[in-house]
Amino acid sequence: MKRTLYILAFTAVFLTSCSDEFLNRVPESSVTSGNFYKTEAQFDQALVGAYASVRAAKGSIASWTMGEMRSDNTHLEFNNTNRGGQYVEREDTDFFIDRNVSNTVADKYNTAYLGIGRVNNILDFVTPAGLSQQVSDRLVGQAKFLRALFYFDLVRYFGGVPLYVKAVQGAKDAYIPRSTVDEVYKVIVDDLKDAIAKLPAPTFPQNGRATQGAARMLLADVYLVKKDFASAETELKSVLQMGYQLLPDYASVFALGNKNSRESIFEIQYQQGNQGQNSDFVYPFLPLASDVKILTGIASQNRQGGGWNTPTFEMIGTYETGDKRLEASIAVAEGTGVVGDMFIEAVKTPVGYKVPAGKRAYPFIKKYLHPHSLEQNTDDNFPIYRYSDALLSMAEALNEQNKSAEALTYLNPVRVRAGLSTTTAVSQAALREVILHERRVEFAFENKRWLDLVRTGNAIDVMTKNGAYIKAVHAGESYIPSTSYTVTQQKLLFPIPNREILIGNLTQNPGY
Amino acid sequence: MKKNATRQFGIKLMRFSLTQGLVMVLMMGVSYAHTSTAQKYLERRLTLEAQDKQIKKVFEEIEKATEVRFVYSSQVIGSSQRVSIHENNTTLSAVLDQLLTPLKVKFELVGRKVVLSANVIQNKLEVQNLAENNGESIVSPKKVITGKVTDEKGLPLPGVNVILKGTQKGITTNADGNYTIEVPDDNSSLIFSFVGYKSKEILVGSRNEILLSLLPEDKALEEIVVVGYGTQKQREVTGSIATIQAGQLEDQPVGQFAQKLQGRVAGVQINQTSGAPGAGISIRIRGAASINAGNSPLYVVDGFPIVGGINNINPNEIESFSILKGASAAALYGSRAANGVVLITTKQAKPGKTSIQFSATYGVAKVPQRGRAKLMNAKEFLQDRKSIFEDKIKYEGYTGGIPELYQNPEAYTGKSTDWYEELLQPAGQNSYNLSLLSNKDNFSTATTLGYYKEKGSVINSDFQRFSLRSNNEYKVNKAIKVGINIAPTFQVANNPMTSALNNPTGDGFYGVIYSAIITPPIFSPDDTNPDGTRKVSFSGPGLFTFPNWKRSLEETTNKTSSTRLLSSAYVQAEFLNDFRFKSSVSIDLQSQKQRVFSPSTVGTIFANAPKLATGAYATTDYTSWLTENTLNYNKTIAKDHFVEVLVGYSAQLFRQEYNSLTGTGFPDDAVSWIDAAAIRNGSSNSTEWSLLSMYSRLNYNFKGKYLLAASIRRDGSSRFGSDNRWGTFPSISAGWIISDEAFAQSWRKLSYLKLRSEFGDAGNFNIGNYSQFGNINSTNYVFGGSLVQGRSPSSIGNTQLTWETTRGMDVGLDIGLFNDRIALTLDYYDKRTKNMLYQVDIPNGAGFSNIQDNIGEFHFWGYEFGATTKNLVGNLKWSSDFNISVNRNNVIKLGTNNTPIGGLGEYSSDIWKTEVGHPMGQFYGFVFDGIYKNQAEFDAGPKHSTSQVGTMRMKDLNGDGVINSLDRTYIGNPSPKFLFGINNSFSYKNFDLNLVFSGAYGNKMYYSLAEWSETLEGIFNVETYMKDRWRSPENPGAGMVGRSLSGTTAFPRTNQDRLVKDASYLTLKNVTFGYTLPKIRSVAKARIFLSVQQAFILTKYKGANPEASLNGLSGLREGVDVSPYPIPRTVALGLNFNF
Repeated sequence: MKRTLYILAFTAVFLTSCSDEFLNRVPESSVTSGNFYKTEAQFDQALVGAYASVRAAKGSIASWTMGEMRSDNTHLEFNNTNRGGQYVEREDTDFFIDRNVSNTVADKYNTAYLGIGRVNNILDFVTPAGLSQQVSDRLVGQAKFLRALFYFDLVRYFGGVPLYVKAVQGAKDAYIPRSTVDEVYKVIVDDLKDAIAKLPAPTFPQNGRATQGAARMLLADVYLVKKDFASAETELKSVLQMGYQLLPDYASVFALGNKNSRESIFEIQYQQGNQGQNSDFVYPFLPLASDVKILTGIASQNRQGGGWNTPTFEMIGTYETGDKRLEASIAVAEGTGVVGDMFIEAVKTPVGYKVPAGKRAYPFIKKYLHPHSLEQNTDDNFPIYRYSDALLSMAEALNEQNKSAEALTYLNPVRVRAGLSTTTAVSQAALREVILHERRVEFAFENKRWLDLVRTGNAIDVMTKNGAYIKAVHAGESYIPSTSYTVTQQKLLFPIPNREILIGNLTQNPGY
Repeated sequence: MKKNATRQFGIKLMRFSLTQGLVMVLMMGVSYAHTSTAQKYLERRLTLEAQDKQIKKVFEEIEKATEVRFVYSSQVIGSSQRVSIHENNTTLSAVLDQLLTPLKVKFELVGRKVVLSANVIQNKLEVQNLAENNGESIVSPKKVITGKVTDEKGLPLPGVNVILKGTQKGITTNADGNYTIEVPDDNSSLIFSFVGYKSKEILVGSRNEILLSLLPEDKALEEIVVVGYGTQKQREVTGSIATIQAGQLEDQPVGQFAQKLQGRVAGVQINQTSGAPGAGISIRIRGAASINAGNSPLYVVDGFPIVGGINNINPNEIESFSILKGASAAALYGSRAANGVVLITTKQAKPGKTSIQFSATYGVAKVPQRGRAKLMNAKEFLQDRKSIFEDKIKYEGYTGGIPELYQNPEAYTGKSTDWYEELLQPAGQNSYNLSLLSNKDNFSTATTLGYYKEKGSVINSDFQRFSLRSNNEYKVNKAIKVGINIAPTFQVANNPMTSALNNPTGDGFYGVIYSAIITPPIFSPDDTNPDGTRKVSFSGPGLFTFPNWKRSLEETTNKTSSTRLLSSAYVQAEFLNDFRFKSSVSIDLQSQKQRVFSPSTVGTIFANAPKLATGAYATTDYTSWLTENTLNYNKTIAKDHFVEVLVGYSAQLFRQEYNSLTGTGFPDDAVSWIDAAAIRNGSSNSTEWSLLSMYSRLNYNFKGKYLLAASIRRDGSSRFGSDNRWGTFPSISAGWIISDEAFAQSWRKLSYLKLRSEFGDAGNFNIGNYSQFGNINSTNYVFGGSLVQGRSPSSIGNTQLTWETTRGMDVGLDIGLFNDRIALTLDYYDKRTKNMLYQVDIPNGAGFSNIQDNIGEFHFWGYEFGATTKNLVGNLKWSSDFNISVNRNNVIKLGTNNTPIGGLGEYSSDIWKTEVGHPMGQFYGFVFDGIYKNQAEFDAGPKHSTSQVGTMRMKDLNGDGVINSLDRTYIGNPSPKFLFGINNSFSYKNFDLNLVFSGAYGNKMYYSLAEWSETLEGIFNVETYMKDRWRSPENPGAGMVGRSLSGTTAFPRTNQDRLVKDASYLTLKNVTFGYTLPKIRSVAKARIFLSVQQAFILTKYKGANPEASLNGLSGLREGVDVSPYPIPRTVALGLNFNF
């Protein structure tokens, strides 16, 4: 019995003495929330993580599907051999028959909030971390710029969305109803004002981080949407004095050697290679073909992934004669063979292009296509704001305030750079048209067209016409449902993803 | 008077004869006993110390010391009789005299057997009584019966009680098994009984000699059952435990033990969801389910809870399975026991024996025709394409014309490929096992060497296992023994279908078989390019571009090899009579390597060939060790109180390291190792968990009929939040053997009746290793053209995180009827799983789609019934096992706001919905309502946004006139209404036949292949009935298939009740016919058998495998058939030799 007691005693001692140590297992190969958001270095890392989400939110398939394919700029190469759900969703967005179960639309929504979540964590933890004012300002300024950028996308695509301004730490914090559009804009404007106060002015060469210039440009864009043209003018005036300038040649703006150039205000950063920083957005824009080497320089079949965001011949036709931007932005792939198995024989200029008999031809976006060494692994950045946007926004802000003559001084440098003559349109309405068209060709395929159409109130009209055009051009190909291109006021917003309606008890936008 | 005189005489004669007979028998026995050999044993000297000890134990000690064996009837000495004896270096005969005389028990030594018998004086008195009470017999002619009793092997059985029925009169057989007894007349019956053997009653009839062989008793109730941390007599078990002896499963030609358990145990559902060699088995005990923590039971091999897979274990090493189903049975395994526990005991040698066993099976396997999709042949396919183009021209203004290929289907004379058949190869398996079992001179060893090879039914897939297990035990002295068990295995599996690179979804949605079936039959894997090489892909007008599946399978490398070492060492010491201490260390090491190479010629459904070659090489190494110390105390107090106490503690640590390299951009297919790749990526990580446990159990019984057991376990786990680290899991159970009560003795047909009940808590700790922490992942970005390291949160932490608790109860009845020829078991259970580890879906606005939390509650209940019957026991023997189980569940509570799980998407990858107030994991979708046959129907009916005249219509369930995702409802439950198994064994002379059926009723299956095999776009091959689609209002087809109009063809692919099929089935899992050869010299047993596995399936289900389930038996997401790896029918020839 004594021995039993010894054994039991030993057991008890053994257990109590080492249990805590034995049971504490922390991940060796990853970092956890328990020891993060403490030091300046960690906040810097977290900020990098927040920047990375700009890629997910604004460099995504959803971005060009909703920003360009929804508009009159691009259509698609119908691939009747692949009817996968994700492809059908892109078509549905183009056709204006999208539904609340679209994963593409949900991706836009989710990725914006992913970025907002990362920013919110930084903002929530930065004060308790007790960093110096200077460090804190640097972090907060960039973080708030990013948050405004994400919410600005959300509010324009989905309307008044739930406002998450604190990091969610538990299920209880996660359920937030939709706010009004004005409430969302208030957060955006407040964030940007704070960001402007904390961010440094741009210095050249730039490195891709947010600057005061980017924040003012974004704020000006917000004011344009809110039709507060005077405030937009104020912000843009500052931007115009920060040292940005137009590069002499439009095509070179997108050249790999001109990343973050003096024309760049803010752009999404990518780098080719095997570190996971590469872009690949150009591949879906290429035609469906058995080999796209003639376009990319690398042998690769593009039978299933390509044929999206295809410029329409209507768009090509709207470029003014002599506009250098046409050849810089678009090329035509010409060849033979069936859809998906086209053999590309030649790359042609779109200027004055006619499809020869017996050939098939697809225009494709050329402005981002640059040499790279690996398939689906490109180096191209994606622009968000360029200096020409500041100029055209200024022109618009002034024109809307009936200062049309002054507006021309900002519009014309953009035209001149493109090899066009200066414009002399003087009426406010005429200039409005000119500016909108100028934006269409200057920012072609920069995911701005649909939002510009909505902002300027032209979406229903333009897209109804575009629908008729598309149906006419593709008559006999039998893939466009008769119900498509019914563009109504309700279609100006996208549906809140069905999952959020069901889980978050959100109210749906009308018409979905 | 005369009559009376005769009677007197009769009595006298009888008295004489009986007395004489008994004396004679005794004399014979004694004289025999004192032959020289017997004498030798009786003179052996031994030392014996026992104080108030069960006589049975004392006998055991004598047996150990002197090599004699005691045989006795329970009527002679009750096993609980207690004695005291203190003898030092005394002869056996003196010891026996000392021991037995006070008990009025006689002994005789026959060979090495000590036969005990009761004092005969008693019998004499009874004979007198008999004579007085039964006057008639005096006039009856006296009859003397002589005979011999032998055992099942024909050896004499001494000490058998031979009783005249209706009296207490009787004698025992002598050393040669002979007896002589006088009976009144021909109508008398004799009852022969002996401990360990079945009693037999025989009508004397006209015979004077009765030769008889007794059969060993089915000792089910005396059988020792392996329970958590020990063993128990079946009789005394109070929990719900099912035991299977592996011996009866030996002949099945399968590589995994779980396949052998199919249909054998009530309450245990085992589905073979895929036929991939060495994989594809899913087990669920009593409907266990969890949202995130998994529902597979804990496997414990020889006391070691193992962490890794169980398919490395050679089934031939296994002696028995104990499946702990009930709440208290499992509770001793604490935080890991909520899904039940499967205790696996490996083979040990039987005392005193040495044997060599060899077995071999060789089998061929073929995929049955039943259940293959009936798709169009080439002619039908071309005709169908033609009609699709006709409709395009007619309805859509299509002006491209009908492609030449489709213009004249009737004239087509080319090949028509059955793509399913093209993926298959002749399959089969063979296995060899050699065991050496020896237990002599204090040393026992059981060593099994095994080799198993299975060639899969799909091209380029196979599985091999080399295994060795050696269990060794050495008795240092009477009190101490040490053991070492070591079991290395090496296995290699090839399976091109599950190569992650090749096919990201593996053997699942849109996997190889799923995608290959729908390849147009006009293409053939042998089609060549102009240069004579086989094509890598196929395309045709308007058709999806398909890879050459056959080349893809042939040329993919996906080889996984794993080396595993399962070993343990222990020392066990008995001390102070009643204590036993055991200390053990167990280690499980596994090293796994997987090499994948997908050359440029390999295509998948979404990435066609040729493409750049890709390769990967990954290693996973883990170590799991357990140290365990237990102390047992075993005592009988005041005769009738039996107490057993167990206390123990254990510590377990698991650590895994994973390294992987992937390579892309290989310049060509010549070199398949990563060195040749242009881009190489690597990842490397580690993970650990630890578990500390203290546990204790008390077993108590009073007189062996009132049984009580209570246990408690405390587990501390690194997986739980630091604020909630320790959990306590109590249990209590009780049993009452009603049939042992005096009042039950008159229930003649009822031989055994036990009522038992149990309550207990068990946990489920499978929540991932670091879930309490919010994960921060590496998230890099580029600034100024340079990579900058960044990080971002990928999940939200929760330091409150803890185990799931399942609180359960069970009430059961064990019944034996007709001398245990019929054994029945009935169980009702009810359990609730709370604090479920739940990935609570939260709005994406949070930046995360879910949070891990303990929330939600499921309610499970069910009934189980098992029957074992011996239908025929003569020359033709027939025994049956039948079991049926009903498992039900209901969802009580879910995450925040009771948000349902699933049912969000409209395709079968998200078909399940789990909602409060409903059984979990039901199918959720639209209700098919025919097609809009004409304009009038279209105008009148509710419409989907893509609806047109001629398209499919779903029911507008909410009546708003619009068909959208709000019109979905529950369309079927994949869980069976009940499960059953039937097992019949027959034997006649040297022949034996065994049939195992397994079945389920009321389970629904979603036939997901239809998502592709019913496409209307004309890009895939489709089901033959798709030709009956809507062509015009005048020609609306069969009313089931809509038209092929563009823009309308995606919606009909959504989840709908039409594709929910009844998958009730009855499968003859195995039939084995064996023949035991007559004895040849040193071969103790030689048997040859023919065994058919997966012999046939009776089902109405359209697919091949009614047990298929994409996610296994997960409860929440089961029952979707994605055309998994087919299960072949295997016909095997086997041999067993015992030396």
